[in-house]
Amino acid sequence: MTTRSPPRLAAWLLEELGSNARLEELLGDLSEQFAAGRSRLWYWRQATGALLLDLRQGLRTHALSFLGAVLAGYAITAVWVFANEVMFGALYQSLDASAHPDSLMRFLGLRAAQASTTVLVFVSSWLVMRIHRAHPRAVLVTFVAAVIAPRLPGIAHLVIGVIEGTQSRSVLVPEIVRMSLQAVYTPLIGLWLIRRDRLAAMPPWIRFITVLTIILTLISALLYDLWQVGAIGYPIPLRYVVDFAEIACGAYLLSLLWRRESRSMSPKSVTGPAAAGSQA
Amino acid sequence: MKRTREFLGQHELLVMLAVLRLGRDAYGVPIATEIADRTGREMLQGSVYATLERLEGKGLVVSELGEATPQRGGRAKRYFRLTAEGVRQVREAQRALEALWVDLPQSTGTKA
Repeated sequence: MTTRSPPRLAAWLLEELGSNARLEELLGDLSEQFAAGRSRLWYWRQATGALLLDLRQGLRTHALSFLGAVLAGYAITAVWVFANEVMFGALYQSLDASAHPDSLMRFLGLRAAQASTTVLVFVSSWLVMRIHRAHPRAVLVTFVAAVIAPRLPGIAHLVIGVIEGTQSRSVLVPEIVRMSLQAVYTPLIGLWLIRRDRLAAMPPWIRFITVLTIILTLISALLYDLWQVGAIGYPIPLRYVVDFAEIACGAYLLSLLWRRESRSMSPKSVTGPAAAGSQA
Repeated sequence: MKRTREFLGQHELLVMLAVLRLGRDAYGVPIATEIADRTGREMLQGSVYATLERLEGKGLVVSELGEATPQRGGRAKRYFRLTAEGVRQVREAQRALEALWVDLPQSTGTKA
């Protein structure tokens, strides 16, 4: 006899986002009732209800530190955007992908800007999770959403412009690439910061993907900066391929680390305290 | 001075009574079913566990892992029992409610 499998997406969402201490037992109960004939709609209602209960409970007990963590990360990002514009604004304005006598200085300037961005992502992710340690993955996702959200209206505007023919795709695509990189690398770095084991203790496949991601990131950044200062030609199709490979590799590493962390953070199957005075 | 004690919430009382009624078979599914069958109110499974977690924190309920089945996706059941303090609080809640029920005047309530 075969057992009916619960809706995969609902079960996955509950497994990944649920924070109930008895999550394993809850998932088992839902599977059991679904196998006994409950509908998919029933399963979805139970899964979303459980997630909303967890959210309400989390907000009730940790609302202030959660909000404080996201705001702190958001504030540090806003300050960096301002400082970056002050320090490197003139440099960005002068870039036109043509050869220039100061190419080396401009290249070093771009590398400095890139390094400061990397430091920012590390510092903001660390700060966010340091302030709110109770739900590191939830606060990380919320922080990323808070950072990404302000970019969306601009991108929507560009998409409409491209559809209407008033904007070029060459303006839209880099904007989408930048947003995707931020959406992938911020949680990726955050997950690295909260991981429980050392890199050497991780499975060889994760280590390999990590090294590959770092190499791709460095190659992509170097090629882009060299092109921006006019040192090399960097055809658009090749740029798209490198950007896509970098984002895909980072996203894959993110999914590996997310799954690994969710396994290491899942509730332990231990028995409760001994029955001091059991049921009458 | 007499110490003021926290009363059991409605969900807590419902879950504890269901656990008492079910005896050794008290795990998530039958607890929710018992409440639905007896009261006509369907309680979310997640809400049952949130309540049980609270009760365990208060020392009114203890639990132990049971068997896993293929129907449960290989996940184990967790059986719950009331502690002596849990039983005492249920009885106390019963006495308090019964005392308030005595000589209750007939009323249809006022419109909000």
